[in-house]
Amino acid sequence: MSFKDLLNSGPKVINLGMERFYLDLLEQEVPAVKVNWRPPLAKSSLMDRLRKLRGEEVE
Amino acid sequence: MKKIEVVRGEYYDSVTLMLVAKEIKRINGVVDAVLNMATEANIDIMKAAGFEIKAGFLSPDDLLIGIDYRKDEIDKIFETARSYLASPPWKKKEDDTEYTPGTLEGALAVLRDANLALISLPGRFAAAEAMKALKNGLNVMLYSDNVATEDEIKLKHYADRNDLIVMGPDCGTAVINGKGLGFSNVCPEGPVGIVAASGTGLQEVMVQLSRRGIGVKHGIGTGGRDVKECVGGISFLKGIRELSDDPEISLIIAVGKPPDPEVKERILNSLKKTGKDCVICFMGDDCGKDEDRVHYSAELEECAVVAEAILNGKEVSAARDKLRAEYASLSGWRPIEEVQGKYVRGLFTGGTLCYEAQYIAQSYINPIYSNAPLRKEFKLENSLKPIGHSFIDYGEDEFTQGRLHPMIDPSFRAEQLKEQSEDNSVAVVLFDVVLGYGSAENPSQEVAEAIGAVKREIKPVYVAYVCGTAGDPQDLAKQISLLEDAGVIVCESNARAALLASSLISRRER
Repeated sequence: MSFKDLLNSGPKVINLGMERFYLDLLEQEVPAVKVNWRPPLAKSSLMDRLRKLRGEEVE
Repeated sequence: MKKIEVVRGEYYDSVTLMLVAKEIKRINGVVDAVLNMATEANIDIMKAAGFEIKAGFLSPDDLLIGIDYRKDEIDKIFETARSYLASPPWKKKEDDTEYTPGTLEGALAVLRDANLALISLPGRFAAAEAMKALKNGLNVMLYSDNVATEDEIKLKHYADRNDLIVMGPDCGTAVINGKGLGFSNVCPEGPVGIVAASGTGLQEVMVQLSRRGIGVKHGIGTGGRDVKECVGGISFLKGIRELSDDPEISLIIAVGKPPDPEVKERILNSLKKTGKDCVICFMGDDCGKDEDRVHYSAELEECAVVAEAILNGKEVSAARDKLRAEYASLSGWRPIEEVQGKYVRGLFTGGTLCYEAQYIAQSYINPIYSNAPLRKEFKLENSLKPIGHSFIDYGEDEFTQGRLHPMIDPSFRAEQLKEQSEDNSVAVVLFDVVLGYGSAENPSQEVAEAIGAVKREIKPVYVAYVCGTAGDPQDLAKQISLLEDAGVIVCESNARAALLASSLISRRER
């Protein structure tokens, strides 16, 4: 959905982070879904370091 | 006694942690409760508060619960904290029945026509999630700060190539089709479109427009760094282009702290090309004289006054003269005969409100020190120890690492207000209260209680501005009367409050 579509049709929101913002959207009757977000496991950064050591590209 | 409990691999957002801490503090025998994710900054804060923490074994995904208690019922208190985290007491029961996806992709399966990701995750994770959202065809509002400049540039270039926008990082406020995102006030919809590189700048302009019966259709936030040369105004310029194409928008307002010169040039050229009436407020930045349909204003209230005059077919210069006359009479007003002390301390939750207040007050008092000064040489060495005339922005990164933004949790600013009020050299305390979605439920109450607790024979003069509309959830009239009952002089705009506070101790006429 382009920026123009967003402005034309109004926000339909996926909320990642503070739940307060999500609840405020519901109060304004904005379609919204919250993500029960958790940080990537600490082991991923260890895996990244191992990949880097092996010379692989890390995103 | 102080005790720490570590909950491994459990992540909670900062508002939840603050609310649980507040609940725990209500338990009899608890002196203090601090809940934080175990980042380095948070560990340092908790150590400074006297909690013993072995940092080597922790990762930022671990939760720290620190409790200072009097009674020997500590295990029960920790148990209560954990149960509140699992099932927050302030939540309605029906909330629990909702399905909550764990990933962005999962959420897209639920809301297939989603068009925006609102991201307020810790800065170190925010850029990756924002890129994921863009790659899934979503526009992004990035509330998070502490996002690297190179990540911002990468995200904005990607968005630009794909007809999307990234509002932020550090974008606190936006309005799309009259719906507020993040910190936003309840305003009528109308013919105005705003692009703003400043959150509270956008809020103040919307509030001042609303008080003059003018509504806003879109308020596009960009984050303050967007108008720096390194980013080049990518989102700002995109916002202007879209507002220009919208036939329902007859007037465009551009707001922010002064952009870098080349970016400013691009923004001015782009506004001139829209062929619509434009009002530009880069806070004190000298853009030149009004030309044709492009008007300049130095202050946020003036910006709304000029916009209202244009939309209602009034003479702009007459509207400006009227405002100047009101400001002049305010600067000569002496509501209190005797003022003790010499200095003004401005204690702000809104960054742009702090900036605008310095810009206005510098005509009356000098120098003004700040943690976010107008000029580098007036940067405070220690923001917790203001000197002379000092204006502090408590929303700056130095205060929000390990703490909530003061508009969400005003308690730290309230503590500082009490401390500053007890300094005998302080004559006037100037402050803001920002209402609207996202902000604290009853912010004036915390300030009023702090003023009530001040131990000083003759208290300083309190001057404030409440940035809010009658439709805001906190009840504007109630918030103003809470302050007035505590002896605060409440002004009608941030500019007026800054003007009154600074002119009170300066006889200099404008």
